[in-house]
Amino acid sequence: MNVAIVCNAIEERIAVGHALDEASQAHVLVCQRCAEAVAEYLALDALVGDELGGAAVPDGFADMVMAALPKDSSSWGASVLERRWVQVALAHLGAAVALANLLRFVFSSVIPSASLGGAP
Amino acid sequence: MDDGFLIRQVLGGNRSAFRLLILRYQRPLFKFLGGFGIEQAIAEELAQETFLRAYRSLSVFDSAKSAFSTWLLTIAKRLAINETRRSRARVVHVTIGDAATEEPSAGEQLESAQRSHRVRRALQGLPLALRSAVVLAYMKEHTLAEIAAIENCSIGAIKSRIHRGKGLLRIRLAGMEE
Repeated sequence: MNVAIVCNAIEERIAVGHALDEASQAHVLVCQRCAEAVAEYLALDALVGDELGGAAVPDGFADMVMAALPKDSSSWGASVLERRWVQVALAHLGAAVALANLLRFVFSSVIPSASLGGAP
Repeated sequence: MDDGFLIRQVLGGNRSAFRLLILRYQRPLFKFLGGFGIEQAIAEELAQETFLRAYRSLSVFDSAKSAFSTWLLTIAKRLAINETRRSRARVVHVTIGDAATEEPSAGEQLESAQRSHRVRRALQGLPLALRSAVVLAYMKEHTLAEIAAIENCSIGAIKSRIHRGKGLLRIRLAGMEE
């Protein structure tokens, strides 16, 4: 196998955090590029891992959310409108109605008027 | 008590069971939002909205398809991406001056603040899809399969995103040090 392909595969495993098999470890020992990649990813993971504390959970957050929840379980019905296929179906229905209205207008007023020689 | 039991309780009308789900997942949710570069006040709004959306859509949650935590982070990720697109300015800016004013004589604190600032800026500079994958990977709370589910892509694609994201992160951090 091409050395560059081996190096890329090893680098991806290191980046993703997978353990290296024995053959890969042996390769890293003799390949300067992979050795550098291992060192750099280890340093990067230590640096970013330390800094990735995230946002702080405020005191009483759970109570705050609980207070904001809908009071009754009728809100389950609202979730139907949040389904993707329902939204797409409603959008298509709206477009079909608009098109039907446009065609009705064209056939009922514009075309008859033009066929009689008048201005549309 | 597992998530499935708590969800059934909520759907059965026991609202207080949802509180346990919030307590269980608030920490990883805030960790994700913070790592994504969302500032504290906005993170609180987004975290609340995430749980509210989860509550409203709980009846359509399919535990056979994904874990509750995965589903929750999928909602949070969408909100975080929308927020980032809506307001590119709303990113965390830990200025060196602010960090230094607390104890200006403490060189280590200044260095730590600078390092933190660099990492956050480097993360915020990543494209959204790569940023999300990298943050989830660094959280170390999800398997690759779960991250792939959150990102709605294959495991191969998620490996590639993490690889590319970390590669870009290395380059950006190296560039900032020069």
